[in-house]
Amino acid sequence: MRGLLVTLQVSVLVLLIGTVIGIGGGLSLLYGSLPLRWFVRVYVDTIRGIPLLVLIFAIFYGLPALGLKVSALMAAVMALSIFCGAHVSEVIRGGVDSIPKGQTDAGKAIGLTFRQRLRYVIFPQAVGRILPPWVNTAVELVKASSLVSLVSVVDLMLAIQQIVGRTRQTLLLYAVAALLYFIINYAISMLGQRLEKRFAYT
Amino acid sequence: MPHKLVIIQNLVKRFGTVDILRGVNLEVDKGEVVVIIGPSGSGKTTLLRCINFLEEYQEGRIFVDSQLMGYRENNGKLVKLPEDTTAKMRADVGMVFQSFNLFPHMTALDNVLLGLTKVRKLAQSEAEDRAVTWLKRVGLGDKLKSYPSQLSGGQQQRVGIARAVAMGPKVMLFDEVTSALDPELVSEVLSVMEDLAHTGMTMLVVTHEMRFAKEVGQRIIFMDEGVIVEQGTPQQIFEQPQTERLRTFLGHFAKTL
Repeated sequence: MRGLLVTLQVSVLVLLIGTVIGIGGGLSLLYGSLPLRWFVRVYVDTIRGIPLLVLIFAIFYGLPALGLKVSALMAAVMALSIFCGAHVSEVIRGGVDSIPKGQTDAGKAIGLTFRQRLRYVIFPQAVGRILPPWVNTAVELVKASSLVSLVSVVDLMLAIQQIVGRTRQTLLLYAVAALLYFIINYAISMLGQRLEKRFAYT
Repeated sequence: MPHKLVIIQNLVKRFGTVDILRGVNLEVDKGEVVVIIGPSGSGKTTLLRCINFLEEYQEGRIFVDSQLMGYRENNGKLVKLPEDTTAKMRADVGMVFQSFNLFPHMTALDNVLLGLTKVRKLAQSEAEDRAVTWLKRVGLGDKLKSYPSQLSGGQQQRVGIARAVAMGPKVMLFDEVTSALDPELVSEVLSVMEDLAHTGMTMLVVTHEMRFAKEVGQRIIFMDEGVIVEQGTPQQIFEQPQTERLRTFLGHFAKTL
């Protein structure tokens, strides 16, 4: 089951890169200079507005046309990361934005600097609000990663299709595929719920 | 002449095209308790928020202990200071809010500790001593480990006061701190403030509690439409109001006075 491993690796890698992009993007949307805010806003809205498959094809076929050689796996990871980053940016922005403004006022009033306010006041509260939509994004991402099979990355989806090609056990094998995706995502959801409990405060 | 701790000169504050403050002049002595009254929308809260630079202002100057707040002067023009510099200055100005604004993810003790350890950079043990001392002073010695959500409004606001005072500020700002409280909880907060006033703390208090203004205020400022309309001792303001506007305003409180 090499394919399963590829799906897991791609998902984890993309989620990491996407979250890093998302934190940068989200903070830029909230606190960046006007040009930076504009830039990120255009990025987020554009990416969220086009189908992921178009994005994957654009990078897989587009970069070689520009003279950049990338493997199918690399192109897939890039496309998914850009996609994930846009979604996480919005998740982070929304989560931080939902913290009442009085919290910032209170942090300022005791003399905390911008970074201290984020670290001690805003983020600890925002995490609890960011986690649920973030887990949602992660689940969507694992499912969406099946699209990379269309640029010949042998992930879970393509591996199953290859076996189907040999054995003709269509119904059974796609049921197995569905079950495997479900198990991964169920695990993510469970993990998310446990994390949420940990970050909830009374 | 006593030391002027807060000096506000010709302060103008606009939100877009709306003038919130239209030239406010005010000097506060060290140890003085100044109570600011006035109808809502008169600019009282904005005035307080300008003093610790939670709001930027467009014209005029605010000095706290001779330091220009939030800006530096460059050829007569105001240039905003870097955030970290402003943060240092803010640490010397304590503020208590109408909506408490306690950090909900921290215990009462941690709320008070945060500024002491991260801004004042006190050692943990020293910071804890100071935080516990203040929480005891506001009557919450048994609530150190409670989270804000487990406290009543009055208790939360007393934590808010402890959090601000523990920093050792030069001046304390109180922004309608009892307005969000159930009536029976107002007095426990006011008595803490009165206690603080007696220790010689310099205080600017925006409030609708006229009894408190009368009994604790040394000087009363009446603001309306972004300017100071009248000021004087509690006796002058409450017993011999000079302007029609103040008389009308006080009329609304006639029943409670």
